[in-house]
Amino acid sequence: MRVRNALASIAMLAASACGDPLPPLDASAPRDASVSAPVCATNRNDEIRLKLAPQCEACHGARAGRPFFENLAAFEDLLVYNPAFVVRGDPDRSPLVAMLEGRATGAYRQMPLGGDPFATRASRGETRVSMDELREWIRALPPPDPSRQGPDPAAITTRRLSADEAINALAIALGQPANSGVPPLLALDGPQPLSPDSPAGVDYQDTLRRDTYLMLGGPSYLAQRRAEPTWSPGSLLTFSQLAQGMCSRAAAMNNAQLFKFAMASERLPMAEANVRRNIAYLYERFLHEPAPMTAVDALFTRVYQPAESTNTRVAWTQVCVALARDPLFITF
Amino acid sequence: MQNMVDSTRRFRALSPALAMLPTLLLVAGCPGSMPVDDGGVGDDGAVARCEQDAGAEAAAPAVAAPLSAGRVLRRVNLALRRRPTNDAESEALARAATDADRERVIESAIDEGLRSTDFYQTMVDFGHEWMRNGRFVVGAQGDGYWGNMSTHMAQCGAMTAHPGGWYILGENNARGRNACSDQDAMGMPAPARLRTVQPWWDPSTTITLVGDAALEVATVTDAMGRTQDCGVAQEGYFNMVNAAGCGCGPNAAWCFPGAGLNPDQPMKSQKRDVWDEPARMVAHLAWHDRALSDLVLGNYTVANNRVRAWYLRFGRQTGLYNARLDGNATWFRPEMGSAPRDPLHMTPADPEAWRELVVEELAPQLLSLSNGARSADPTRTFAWDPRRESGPAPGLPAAGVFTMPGTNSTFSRERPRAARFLEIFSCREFNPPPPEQHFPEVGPDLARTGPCMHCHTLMDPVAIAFRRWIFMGYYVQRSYLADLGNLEVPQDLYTPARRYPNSGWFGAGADRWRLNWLPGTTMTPSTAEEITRNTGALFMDTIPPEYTIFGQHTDGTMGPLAFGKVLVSSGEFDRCAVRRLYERFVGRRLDPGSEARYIEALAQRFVTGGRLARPFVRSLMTSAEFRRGF
Repeated sequence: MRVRNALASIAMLAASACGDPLPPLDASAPRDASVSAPVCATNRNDEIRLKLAPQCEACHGARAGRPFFENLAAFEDLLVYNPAFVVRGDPDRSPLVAMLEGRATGAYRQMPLGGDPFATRASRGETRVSMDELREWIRALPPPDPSRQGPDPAAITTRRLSADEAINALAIALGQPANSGVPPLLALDGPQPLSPDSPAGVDYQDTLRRDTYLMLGGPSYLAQRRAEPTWSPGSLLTFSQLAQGMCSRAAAMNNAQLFKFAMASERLPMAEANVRRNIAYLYERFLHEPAPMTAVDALFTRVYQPAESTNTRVAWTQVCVALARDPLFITF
Repeated sequence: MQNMVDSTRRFRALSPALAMLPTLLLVAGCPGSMPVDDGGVGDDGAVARCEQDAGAEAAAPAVAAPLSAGRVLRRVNLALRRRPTNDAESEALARAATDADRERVIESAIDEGLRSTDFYQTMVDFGHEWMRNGRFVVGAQGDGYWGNMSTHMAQCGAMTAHPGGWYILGENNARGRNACSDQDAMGMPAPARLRTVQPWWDPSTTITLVGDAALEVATVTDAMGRTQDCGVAQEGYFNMVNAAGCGCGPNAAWCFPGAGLNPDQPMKSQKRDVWDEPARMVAHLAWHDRALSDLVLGNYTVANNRVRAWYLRFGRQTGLYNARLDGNATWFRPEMGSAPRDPLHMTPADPEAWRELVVEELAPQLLSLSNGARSADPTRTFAWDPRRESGPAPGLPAAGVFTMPGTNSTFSRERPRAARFLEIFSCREFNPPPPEQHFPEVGPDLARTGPCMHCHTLMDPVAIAFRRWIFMGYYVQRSYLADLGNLEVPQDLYTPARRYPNSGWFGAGADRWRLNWLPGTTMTPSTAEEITRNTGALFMDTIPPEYTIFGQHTDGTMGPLAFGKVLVSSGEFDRCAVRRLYERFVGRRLDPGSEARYIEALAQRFVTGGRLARPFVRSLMTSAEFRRGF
């Protein structure tokens, strides 16, 4: 009883909040639990969307090939204001109406695809909206909202670096020539892994390096394996190991690109000013942004200084690796 | 440190997988990681900071700040050249004193990048990603053998009488001779026939053909008294062989220098090249400022000498225009003509150059419908209805990647071809239907019944157009267009007593066609009576004009060209192309649910610009969207 009262209260709240709650479906008709919850329409189009949803959104919801019912924007932009489906003001010329009535020509003769067309179900009272109401809605359809034209301002605007880009980024930061071309990564010297698409004649037996390339995220188009779209634990670990190898080698070889303002042999505390200046230089070299003092300080005190007690090669390797693993380095 | 915290915060907004990086680095214990706690577990280090960051992230505004000039320049170079800014470019930016100067540096980087061969190579990579065809497999079997319809040759050893000469592989044992050593089957001296030719694979040199390879005959009479065309490859093991007594033809065009036994597809192998062909076409269109819609409407491709040789052999197998093909002495000479080529092979005589080719020139069964001129004119049309015709079709309209060997091999049957091409060119996704959705009971027509109709309603009308390309052969399967040219489907195909002589057709799928191509269904719009009258009606590959795809009727053109036209006229191609380009060059996927109008606006801009990739990419890279931070 307590549960029933609680549900009733929720229903009342929903009704009062929405003003015009959706009419209930016929009790004997199949119901979609996801749309039985109280919902509020923001305008007339939204109201129609919500009323059509029980029959439509299973196939046309989010991530569907035709996501008409993903949200109001999708409903309006893909369906309502798409003349391939709705002719504003003219329901008789609107293919959507023909499909709902089961009299469309072409591939999609009716909607829903299976069972009785929507209009037949509506005539039996199994839908939340009648065909008459839909026709009237199309007759009175307002023009589209002109404000929604551009890109989604909240969308994420970056991506991970591809395997090629990540390797090339390391190579350029360390003063090596970048690899480019098709297929990528043909270099036989150095730690660059080969793409599985690389010509077998170059390095036929080197499966370890090819596997490493795939672990970095691939792709192998020959094998129809697409590039990994996001960093995964495996690809990140592989990249970390690659960066450690390349940085360690560059530090050991006294790479001139790594030591512009400090010498590899300089020791603290005498070398602190040079070390800090070189860290700032490396920061900009790796991340393509001027180094903030806070970042230089953190790299010096938390990365370089502790490792320098082992030796300077380790310390510079750690700085290099820290920069290579910076989010700004491994993203686009 | 604040910057690092900011970076980490921004980073966490990217994706769950990206956001794992700091944690992963901690778990891995990698020294030097930025977010490492300096006080150990329990101190106010990483964990506490993470909590603070999480709170800060929740309160952060969603709209990101624009990138700095250095980051924009890096993004430009990554997008166009697949590498970040190099030292010279960084120095140029550092020398720029004002914002306007920095903008000029960035604009210059965009323009130089788009003009560079790096851009061509980036577009080849993008082409592979977009076209999705994998390695060439023969039919659905995926073996490493290579049905290239050529007699394969090997070279005589250094210690033989004809070092470096080319002989037909197998001649030295199967045919009982040792031509390289001038010996007959008994080991007795028998001077081998020799012929010097300019070989098609390297016309800047001459080679010596040895033994049978040097024969210059067009036909031979076999033991059964039948005349055999020496230009047609017959059965073989991994090695196609022409009839005994045949040679390699003009410029060794009927032969291939090497065996087809390498499954790994090394560089400069024909098998790899046909995998590369669709992606090269994407890059070619971008590089030469051609409409990207030529991918589905064009009667031309790009091909180096090996791909040209493949088309020539494909064409020669059909028996159409043999004399014209055998008399063509220029197809392998890159210095002839002025066909646009790829920017990586600019030496005139380089046989590796990917040059434009109207495919009908070498494969006459792939109709240009333009008197041999390069064309992507959507009014090109050709009707062929085997329900009303008799005999094999004279050709199939060429339609860009739809009639390339690489795609037709990887997507090896009509429905997978339809599904993949719908995914590739209309950005469709085929997912299983929702479990709660009711469908009528499954019947013979998958486009009209059962849960299958969820996908097949769209897929099957398209699949009609892709049924003619088959793979046939007793051991190594070769590409054919069924019931076309001299490959007429036998009228007694399904007569039980004739199964053995028709077994090649059953190897190619005749049992599957009988089971799956049911008369009167959406995908097989021929009646049983029509198929009885002409078995070729099985291969009815004209999408009936009464069908609609994307709400559009086709124009009755035979084969996949009709699908290409609908893709373009419906706008599906343009919307999908701009989504693919945007994802590649701006770095994120557009959401068709929330950004449909933006996609439409981009598509309009793309169409207005002639569907050219380069100016469209440039417009993306100079947009504010390209410069948004995380």
